[in-house]
Amino acid sequence: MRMMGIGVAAPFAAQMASWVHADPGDRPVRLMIFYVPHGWPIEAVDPGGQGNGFFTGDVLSPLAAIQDQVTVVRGIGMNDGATNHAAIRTVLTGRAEGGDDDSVDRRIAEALGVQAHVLGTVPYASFAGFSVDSFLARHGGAWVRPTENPVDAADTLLGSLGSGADPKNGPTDADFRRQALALTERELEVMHDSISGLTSEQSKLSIHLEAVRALKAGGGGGPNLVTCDERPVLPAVDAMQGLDALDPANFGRVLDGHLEVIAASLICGTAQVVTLQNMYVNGQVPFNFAGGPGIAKGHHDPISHSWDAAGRTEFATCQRWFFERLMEKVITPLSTTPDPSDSDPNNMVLDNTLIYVCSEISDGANHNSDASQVWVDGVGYDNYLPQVLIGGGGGCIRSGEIINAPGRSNLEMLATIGEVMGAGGLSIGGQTPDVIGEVLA
Amino acid sequence: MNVRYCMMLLSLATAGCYGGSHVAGDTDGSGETDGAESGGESGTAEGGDTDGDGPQGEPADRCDASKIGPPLLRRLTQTEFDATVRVVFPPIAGTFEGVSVGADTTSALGFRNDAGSLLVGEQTAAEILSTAEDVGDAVTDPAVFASVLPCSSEAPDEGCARTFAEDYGARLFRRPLSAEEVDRYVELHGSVAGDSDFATGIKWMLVSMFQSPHVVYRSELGEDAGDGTRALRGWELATALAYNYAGRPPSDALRTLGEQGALADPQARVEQARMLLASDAGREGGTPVLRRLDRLPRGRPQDPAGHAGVR
Repeated sequence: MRMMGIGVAAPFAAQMASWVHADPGDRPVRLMIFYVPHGWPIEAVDPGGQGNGFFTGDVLSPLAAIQDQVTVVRGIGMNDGATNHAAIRTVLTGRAEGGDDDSVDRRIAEALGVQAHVLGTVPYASFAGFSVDSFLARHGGAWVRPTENPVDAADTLLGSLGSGADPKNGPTDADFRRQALALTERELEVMHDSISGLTSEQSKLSIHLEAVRALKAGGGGGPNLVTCDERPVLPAVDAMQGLDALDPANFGRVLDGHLEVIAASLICGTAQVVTLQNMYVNGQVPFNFAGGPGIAKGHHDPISHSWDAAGRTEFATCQRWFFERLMEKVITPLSTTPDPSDSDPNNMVLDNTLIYVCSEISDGANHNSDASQVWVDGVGYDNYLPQVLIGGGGGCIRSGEIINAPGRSNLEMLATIGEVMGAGGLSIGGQTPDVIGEVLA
Repeated sequence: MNVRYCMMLLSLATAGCYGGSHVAGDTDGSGETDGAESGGESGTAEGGDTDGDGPQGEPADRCDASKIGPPLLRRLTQTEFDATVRVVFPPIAGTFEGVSVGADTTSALGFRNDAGSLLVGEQTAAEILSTAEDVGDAVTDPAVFASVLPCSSEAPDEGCARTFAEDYGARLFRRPLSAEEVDRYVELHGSVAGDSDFATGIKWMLVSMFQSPHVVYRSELGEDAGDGTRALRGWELATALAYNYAGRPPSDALRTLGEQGALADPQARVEQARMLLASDAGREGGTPVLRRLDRLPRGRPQDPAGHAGVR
């Protein structure tokens, strides 16, 4: 058994309770979606432009140590003509403006019988609200505002650990809650039926009705793989106690806190599908916050919009910082912790995890969401949406590969991820997209 | 600012054109924003304030020119939920820590009260449930319960539970509950109290009430006027006036005016709007309508096309 190296990993070893041994070949897979805003400067990602220098480039260099567990897919463009900032709604749905279906995280979670969680490092101005252009995930027909504070995220994703079962006999609050929700459900049904002909308002009530039904049923599925008795020690989460998660000055602290929660919940099995949304399309967070890359400029503009070499270097530094944090707080613990849910003790949690890094934009300055050529200092680079897969995906991924997939779309990537996660054949927008076979083992 | 204020007050006269016009329309004359809902299936009529100068003439004369909107359900905003708790339950107003309902979605035009964007998906439903349980706990706290429901200390029985359902139900629903509705809540109370105690029964009755679509949505559905149009009901007018001009639910007095049909008179609505604007709630918070209108990009009032999606 490889020992865990750093950070949050150590507490898990002592707290793992019962290892749930799955059948051979039935490896439990976790999904983490890591959204990074506004693309990347391709010359700092794929320096030679031929797909053979990813880990010598600035942005992905933090992943060099685990490059045999990293798959980069080149050539992907946004489906359905979605482009620019509005493409954020296409990132996980594959459809312009989100189409009619829930986002892929939710679809996969449903297939697994678990809940899909959405956390966010999203320091929006509370007086201005959460802009409609900031939504990434859609569950149950409604866009989801991410959980902003890691303290709340820890309560949601890890709160069940150590609480024990309610020993009381007889009716409990849960029973009373179900009765109250049943009455609400009935009122919604009556109101829904009473306004036939008002399609938009009926649709509104349909979404509400399904949400109440999900609450009544217990919240949309529980964790399948729980292997910890107690909540792990989470120093970055504890450090957020009493702090404002919407204050841009806390951006680094919030990100670290969320990453700790995700690592812990994936290892302990209290969450199996988690999305972490980093900012949003117009995120003007100054990147000189504590623990950050020390660039006192707004991320969206001027940093991501830079065409000059100095500015693009700063953009690369900012985007690299996201990968550095991901590496330290999630990848490293997962890569050094044997999967307590796997019968093979040689399999680490990362072997049974798929981390999908994505964005709505290909090149921040060019503001495109397709696969096309971008010229930087007189040099043309093939440019495409950031699509990085990390982890073994339960043995279903061709790890350590650079895959050329020209002409393929993010919709097909979503279908491919569904395939890896055991939710193959997803129907999205009334069609079943092709999977990108080259990605699969 | 003064121009806009004046426009709103004057256009109140067009509100609902009770009994004759299409439903909702510019019920508050505010240009309240639910752009995504415009062009609803009921069909909209154009006219009225297309020059950006506001309607002219006597309020009662302007019904024919008012803009008409689709029948709507407007989900309460975060601040409206909060105000509702504090107004309906004064004994907890000073100690209530606030609703769990998260930040409202800001529409493309920058508004946070867009009826097309404010949905109740799983996230919001859970937040409303959490808020409802917090309110239920606060209201049934022994320190305040007797002041909320005096009969709970004297005769905590089915009749007392019925009193709660009728009195607080009317304030939360912004209209009297039907006998059938009251019976359902009393039945829920009986079921829970039978396995616990009277106060717990009230708590869960309140939890259910607070989550009711009759509370969560401000109805601007109206009723069939018999001529192919729909007309807002009195309690819907009272609700629209109260939330639009003071950001809170209607007082018992305003609700009664609505139920009596007194708000069918455009001049009466103007008078009520003025009173609400002059009230503590109207002054302290500023009026939500004014705040939101003030966020419209300058110049838009001169651009009728720019207003097409704003209601």
